[in-house]
Amino acid sequence: MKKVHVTICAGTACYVLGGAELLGAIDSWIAKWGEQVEFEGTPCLGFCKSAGEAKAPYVLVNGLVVEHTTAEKLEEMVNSALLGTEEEASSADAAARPGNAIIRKDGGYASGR
Amino acid sequence: MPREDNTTRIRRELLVRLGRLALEGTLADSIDDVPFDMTAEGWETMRCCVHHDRAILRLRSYALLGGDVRGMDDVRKPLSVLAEGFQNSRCQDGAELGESGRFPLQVLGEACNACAKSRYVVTDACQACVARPCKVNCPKGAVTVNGRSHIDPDKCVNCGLCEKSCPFHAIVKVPVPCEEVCPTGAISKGEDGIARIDEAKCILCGKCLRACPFGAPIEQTQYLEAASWLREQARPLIALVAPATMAQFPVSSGKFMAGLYRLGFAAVAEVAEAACATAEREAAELRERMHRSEGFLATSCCPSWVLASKALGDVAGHVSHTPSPMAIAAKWARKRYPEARIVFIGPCLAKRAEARGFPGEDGRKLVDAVLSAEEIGALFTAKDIQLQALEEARAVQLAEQGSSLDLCYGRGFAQSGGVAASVQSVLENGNSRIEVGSSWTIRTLVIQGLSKQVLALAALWNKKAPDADLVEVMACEGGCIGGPLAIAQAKSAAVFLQRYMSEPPPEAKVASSSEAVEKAV
Repeated sequence: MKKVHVTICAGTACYVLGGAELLGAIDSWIAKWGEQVEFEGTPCLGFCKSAGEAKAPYVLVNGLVVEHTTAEKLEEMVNSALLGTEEEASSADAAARPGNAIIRKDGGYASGR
Repeated sequence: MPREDNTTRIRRELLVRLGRLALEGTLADSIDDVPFDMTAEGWETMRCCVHHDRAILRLRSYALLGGDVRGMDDVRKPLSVLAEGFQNSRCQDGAELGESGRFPLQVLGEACNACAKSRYVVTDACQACVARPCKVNCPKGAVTVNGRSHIDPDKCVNCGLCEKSCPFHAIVKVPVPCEEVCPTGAISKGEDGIARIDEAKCILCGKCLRACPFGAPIEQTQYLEAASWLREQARPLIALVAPATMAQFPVSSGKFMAGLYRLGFAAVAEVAEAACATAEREAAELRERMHRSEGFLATSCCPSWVLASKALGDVAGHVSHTPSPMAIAAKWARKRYPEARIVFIGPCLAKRAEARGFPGEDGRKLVDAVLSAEEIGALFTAKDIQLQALEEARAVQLAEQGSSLDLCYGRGFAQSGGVAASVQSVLENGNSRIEVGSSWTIRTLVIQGLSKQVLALAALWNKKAPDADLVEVMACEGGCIGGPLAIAQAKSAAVFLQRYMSEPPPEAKVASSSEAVEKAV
């Protein structure tokens, strides 16, 4: 089974505007999802410069950008990504996996609201 | 402990936006735009409508500019006019806008939800059962059952027996969040339902600030003033960094220090140094007390606890007279940099009150401003400072002579148990005040988190002394690292503090970066 990779921006702007909560919750997520989900903190991803800190904190879930991330939202994203990988493994038709309204497949900014 | 939610998020975003304007010197030009910019496309309406959200953001900005949210005398003026006045009053020669003298915590009445009185409510889960323990156990006859249990609010005394006895958990307590967490009953709803703070009772623990889901309790801060100082650089600025602040960011202390230099501070010092001095003096005081059999000694570094102790009768007399690490560090800094402005940085609300209570020998306050960890984080963000990307910088050393106590003990003051451990170490290993070989074992009691229950327990010490020689009290859970204005989550903060404690102390010789500072000062 493919893993879900979560990259949490620990740049200063993201950290101050909500990232601290995400980093603090990693332990509980590891307990919840085990090895299925990999977490990584990273120095500034640069999104605060291009898209503004109003949409911080930024997180990447399998390379897709999530903005205005809360713990709740991140859990939702990871759950749907996990569902995606399971279906991908079980079904030959990968395209049939449920799309997610928030993740845009082109890797553009998720519209968080 | 910080709670991440929308009220925290909104408060911080507003700090970042106003901080940026203050650092750029464009407060008067752009401040009226901020409530609109923040609620632009993508804003999730929080209150009845976006206009109410904007009105509250405007009032929050008004408070940050030093406006009085109780009187709201000049609230009709555009923020830009107030900002201009703010800037002008700051620019006058020698003028110190300084403290408004106002209590550091206020309730923004417009933001208060006027929540219904704390009460017990019967929910749909009620089965109108035969047993009816709610009715049987109610001592006031307030419960009647008619197809469903009902509580007569006029008879109910909020004892909670009905809630405890219901087999369906059908009765719930609907609390008033601010009243529920306040350890001293200082915040309570008035006739109009709006919460008010009794300043005589308030110990500035900041628990209501975190608990209110409407963000109604607000601080009276010197945030914009300090930001203006950083921009103008009229006088050198010295940062005194509390160890708890070091535990708020996921970077080494060197990078954090570098961030402060980048913001415009001329010198940055660790309050941990002064904490070592506090521990030494407190150890001497404790030994003196034990010699004279005067009973236990309670620590004095937590200003919330010191305020709370004043309402506890004789217990107040057991609180140490040793100055807090902030007070000692401030005194050293004033002596070394007489021309400078001293800014203390910590996650504590009550330090704002403590900072006012210390007029120095020359009549000046020992600390010119107190910034919270949250506010310093907002300033880093406002100035686009990426801490990870900075070269490590060193703190200057303020103490004229080194301490016998390892600096890691001083850094440990930020955590529950840290002060007691430091005092114990001094007593066990001796120092200039206490001769070596006089090994003393003391009994310690460590208390973290002040609540109604803890204060009730402490009041009992008047009758029966605690079974300890040294009582360490910190108002926040986990100690200062869990302060109301912290950023990091409790667990992360504890990890960051461990890392900070294990870092080597800055070199005894003043670093080259600070030699330039010496010249500037």
